[in-house]
Amino acid sequence: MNKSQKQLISLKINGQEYEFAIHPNRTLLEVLREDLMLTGTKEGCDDGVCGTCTVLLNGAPIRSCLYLAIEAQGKEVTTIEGLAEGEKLHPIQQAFIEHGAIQCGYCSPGMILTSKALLDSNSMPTEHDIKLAISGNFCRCTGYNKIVTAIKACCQNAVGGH
Amino acid sequence: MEDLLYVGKSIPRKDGPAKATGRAEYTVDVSLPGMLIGKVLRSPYPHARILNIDTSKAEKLKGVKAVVTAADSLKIKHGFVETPRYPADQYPIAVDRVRHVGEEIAGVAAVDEYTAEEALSLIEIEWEELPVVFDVEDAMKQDAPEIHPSHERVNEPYHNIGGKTANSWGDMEDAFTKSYLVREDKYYCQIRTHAYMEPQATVAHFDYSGKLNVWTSSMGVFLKRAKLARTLGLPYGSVRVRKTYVGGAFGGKIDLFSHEYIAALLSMKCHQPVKIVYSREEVFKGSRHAQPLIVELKTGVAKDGTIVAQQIKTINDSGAYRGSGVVVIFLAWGFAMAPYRVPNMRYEGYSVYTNNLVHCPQRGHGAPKMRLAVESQLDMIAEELGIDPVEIRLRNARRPGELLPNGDSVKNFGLIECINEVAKSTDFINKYGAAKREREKDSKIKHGIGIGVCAYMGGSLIYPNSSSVIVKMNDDASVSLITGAIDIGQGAETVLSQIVAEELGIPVEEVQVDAADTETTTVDIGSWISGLTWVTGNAAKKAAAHAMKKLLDVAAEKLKENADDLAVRNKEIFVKHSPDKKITYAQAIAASIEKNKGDSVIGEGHFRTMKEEPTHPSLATAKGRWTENYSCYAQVAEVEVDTETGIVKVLKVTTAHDCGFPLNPMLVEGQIDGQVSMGQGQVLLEELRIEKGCIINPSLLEYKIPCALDMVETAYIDVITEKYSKDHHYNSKEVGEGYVAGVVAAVANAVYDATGVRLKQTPFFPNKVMNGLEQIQKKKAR
Amino acid sequence: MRIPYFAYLTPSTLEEALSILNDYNGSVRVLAGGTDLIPIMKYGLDAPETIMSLKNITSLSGIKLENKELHIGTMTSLADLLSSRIIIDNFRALHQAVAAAAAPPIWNVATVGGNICQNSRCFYYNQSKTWRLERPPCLKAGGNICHAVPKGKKCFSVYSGDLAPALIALKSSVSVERKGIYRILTLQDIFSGKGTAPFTLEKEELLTSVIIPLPDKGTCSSYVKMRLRPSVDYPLLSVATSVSLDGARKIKEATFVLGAVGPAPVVVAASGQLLRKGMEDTDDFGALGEILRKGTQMVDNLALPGSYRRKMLPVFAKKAIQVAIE
Repeated sequence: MNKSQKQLISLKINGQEYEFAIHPNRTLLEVLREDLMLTGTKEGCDDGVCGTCTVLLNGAPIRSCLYLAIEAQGKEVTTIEGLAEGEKLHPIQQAFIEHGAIQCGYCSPGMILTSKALLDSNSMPTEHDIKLAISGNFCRCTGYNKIVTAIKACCQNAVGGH
Repeated sequence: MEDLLYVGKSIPRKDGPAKATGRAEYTVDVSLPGMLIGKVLRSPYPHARILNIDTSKAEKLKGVKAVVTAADSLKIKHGFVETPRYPADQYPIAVDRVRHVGEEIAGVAAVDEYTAEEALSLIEIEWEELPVVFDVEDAMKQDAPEIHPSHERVNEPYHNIGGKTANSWGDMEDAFTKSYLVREDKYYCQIRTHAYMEPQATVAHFDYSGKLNVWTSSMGVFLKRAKLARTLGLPYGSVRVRKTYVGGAFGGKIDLFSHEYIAALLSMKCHQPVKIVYSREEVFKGSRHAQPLIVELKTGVAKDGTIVAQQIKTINDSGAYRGSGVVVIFLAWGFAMAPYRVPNMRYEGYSVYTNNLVHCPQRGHGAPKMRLAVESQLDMIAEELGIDPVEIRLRNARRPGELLPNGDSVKNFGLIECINEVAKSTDFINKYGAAKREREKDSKIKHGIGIGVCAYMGGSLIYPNSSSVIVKMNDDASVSLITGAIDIGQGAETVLSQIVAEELGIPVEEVQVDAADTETTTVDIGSWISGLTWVTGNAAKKAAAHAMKKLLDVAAEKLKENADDLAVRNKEIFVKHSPDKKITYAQAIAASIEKNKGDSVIGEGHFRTMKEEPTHPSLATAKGRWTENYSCYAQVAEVEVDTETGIVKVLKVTTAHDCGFPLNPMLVEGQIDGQVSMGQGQVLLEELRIEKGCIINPSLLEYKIPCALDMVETAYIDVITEKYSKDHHYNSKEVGEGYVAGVVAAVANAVYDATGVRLKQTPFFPNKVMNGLEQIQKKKAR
Repeated sequence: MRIPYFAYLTPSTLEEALSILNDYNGSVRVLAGGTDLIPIMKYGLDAPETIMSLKNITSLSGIKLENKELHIGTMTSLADLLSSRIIIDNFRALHQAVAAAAAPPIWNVATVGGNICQNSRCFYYNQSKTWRLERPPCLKAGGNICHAVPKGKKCFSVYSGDLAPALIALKSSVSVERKGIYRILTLQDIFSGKGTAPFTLEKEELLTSVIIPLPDKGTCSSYVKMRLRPSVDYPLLSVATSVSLDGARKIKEATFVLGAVGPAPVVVAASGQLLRKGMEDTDDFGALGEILRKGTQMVDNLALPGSYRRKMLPVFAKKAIQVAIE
């Protein structure tokens, strides 16, 4: 296999199978944004720091700018586009909107997915748990206060059995 | 306030669903058929002449569709400020000389990023390096290399002066002589940067009809259109800047940026769309960062702590071109004279060229630096006089209705109440005393409390100087709100919708916003100087009121009543004394079309501040009315300092603020939170490290903005001094910028309260705090 | 930043992987989690022609306690380490080191082996190609100048991994394999002490497991890290310690392993007497401060000055002891 050859890969994204012929050097972020036009996942630094490229890989948040698309074979990728059901928003998306946790919105897809992964694994996180979980997602607009409030609100809703 | 349905309520933002689902389209997401990837070639030298550029090899590379240099341009300069005194001074693409590392020299457009990168490496340039100067005080010396000639109207024998602001009143010598106490201090602030999450990005498409379509991450589409049109030699009507969502800006996306110009130039050459997206490194290297400011402050006070005189000198490193340097030295004066009474003042500000990157506004634009200086010094004065920090501020704070030296009135200025409220809410005096006592003990972790005050202007005159809004009613009485306003995250579209909904009595969801397109929407003042909510908001109010009047007039005719006898509810117009007599909005619209020569009920509204002033104040003399709208705040920071490591944590910031009244409390709180975080970053974490004009930490790993675990607990106290009324325009005040300043000052004072360490240079990295603690120990030992 | 093109191999067994490393004469780069390698490629610090992914070799993952030794496959993710009860209960320094490493999303893909084998770092090295082309190449990049220390004759890049100091404090060994050869080294022996080439491993060799002896009764351990932000950042300084206590819970002796103090972790042993005196000493952890600083090379190539970080050494060593004993 030489470096100019593309490889045929299949990826499962938001429950749907896709086949691509790509060079192995393409990151998952590039393939999502450029090949699939799923532009909800953002590029902020391309360096694995800012978190705007966050997607869920088998339910766990990862930096898609540091992950080769070819390595994602056999795994389930969830992007922000996979959260809402048609026009029905996921409770976390709803909570972010209701509690003012979105301003410019650029960090929001990554932030929401990370929050979802947290709440899927721990339905009653402490404030510290929340801040730790999202500590790899930077926000320059909100100071994080209302993001933490929104995530907490989801915990309470979970207890309330929505 | 009157019973309001929408204004004053925490309505969730309208663009929330688009942003939460990833459907919101930012410039980085725009994709057009045949789009090429553009890249910019930048100068590796801080100061050099370009002797020759050879692009032939790049042009021949397979996949390259266009290469541009200054040879392809009209060589028209632009500037952040373009006035007779301060004409445009920068070519958007370097012609024969570069003055900073990273200055743009050429652009390429190619089929993909790899090809574009390779093409850049094939451009050959012959250089002649020139002498350099990076330190701003060195740049002023007479033996400094000349970056630009000093401004002809500046008499002092300094080199590299881009501009000067000088203003004074009173008798300084007499005032200082009569002062009970005089202090002199000097403050340095680091170069910080915006670190918006969406990088600079532009898509330009010059189509075959001669129309230049532009999508760009900006803070105001009309200013971008004007600058692009002028520098490209195109009629304004041939440049269309289109709406995209903006992933943060904070002042860093106002100016014309070279990549916008280069993307357009490339597209004009090859007629294909060209997209330039900065890498994060380029955002650091190639865009603009905040204006640094040195503040020399000499203050004389009476025995009771009231300010008698202030002499201020500011020195601004504007970088290689004027940028917004001449604005920041003017604003710094404003941030010094607004909150406290200063009976005698001499202010001089110099904006100086260096071979550093060009600087631009960042949230506060000089306020954080000036307030750090004034508030720190005031605390030191208070300590010397034996007065507490709250009392000294109450004695100096301006009262409602006071006239400022430039002729503005502060009008309903709630600063006294802000100071009282924040002090009460945080139990300031008790905590302040407790920290002093704790300081003497042996505990390693110390706590401190500090206060900072700021006043900020809103909605001053800046091109295009006004906003217009159209409210277009649809057949079913839903509304199209047409505005040039751009939502950069502050919630502009939501607030404008609330106002229109309030005026028309229709639900906010039934207002559709059409925004930020220079061709299809109305002119707008732009999302800076915190004017949008006030200026565009009032224009929207007028437009909606205009539409409402048309509806009422036509209803009055139909119902054969006086318009004054009509009321509205649930999109129906009914007769007050006989509510069964009514028509629906939809019926009124149809009637208007029938009776009013086809007028489908379109309302228009326009708003301009400073109606009696032809233009903004003089940047050089600070003379002239500035704004009708001064906000003010008092903020208290509570900190914890680990005296073994020097690490400072901001635990809580309480903000008492007079924003007039909040049109949307949740959005206002969000603005405060964000600025607390930005202030925290500025005072504790953030610094652009520059060596020989080169940024050595051009990444979000090494330029450290706060993360979620750094989150500060926030509390807010609203001091309401204005109200919304249907009868006339409202006076809300800015909330987008001023809070950073109070936080920076409050944290600095709190660190002193906790440790006795007085730092005059941000950021307060742990090593600086430790040095301060060691000095104190040494002094004690003697 | 685009990654240069490369050929991509995915062996399914360890034998296959070792054969490839052998056949390519070490010119193949190993891809584990990618969080170190991919930024390196984006920055143009390395452009391997061939990359070999270990993701299909399941035998390289896993955490097993057998015969009083913990065996951790080097492809085990940091997230799996963090949730391991065995590690939380018995190998506290390791747990704390993982919790202090990077940020949660990185834990989900980063591996033990990748974290240990990460390249050393410096302000002037970890920059893009464009940035570095604006100045002569540094020693680490194959040139003959050090940008961090003018006239410096050696490389002062900093080994910034969090796990290695903790693992060394816990007396860890590693299995290092190449085609036909299996050997065990103590972990500190894989470090060369040279910034230009931080590891003693050959290019054909692969780290396959980490072996940690179950600590003796009466031993406790910890890992403390200094960084400007509580997440994301590499260490400015870190201290791992393993402390042995007597029956009365007094310190008998301790080993400190210092991280981010130079091109390799530095091991410092300290006697109980010195430590006990140092813990009481309010200034500078007493004579121990001097002993700790020996062997460290902290210069101004990280976010805070070297002089400050040197001063903080005894402070963090003291913190490490306090945390361990808690």
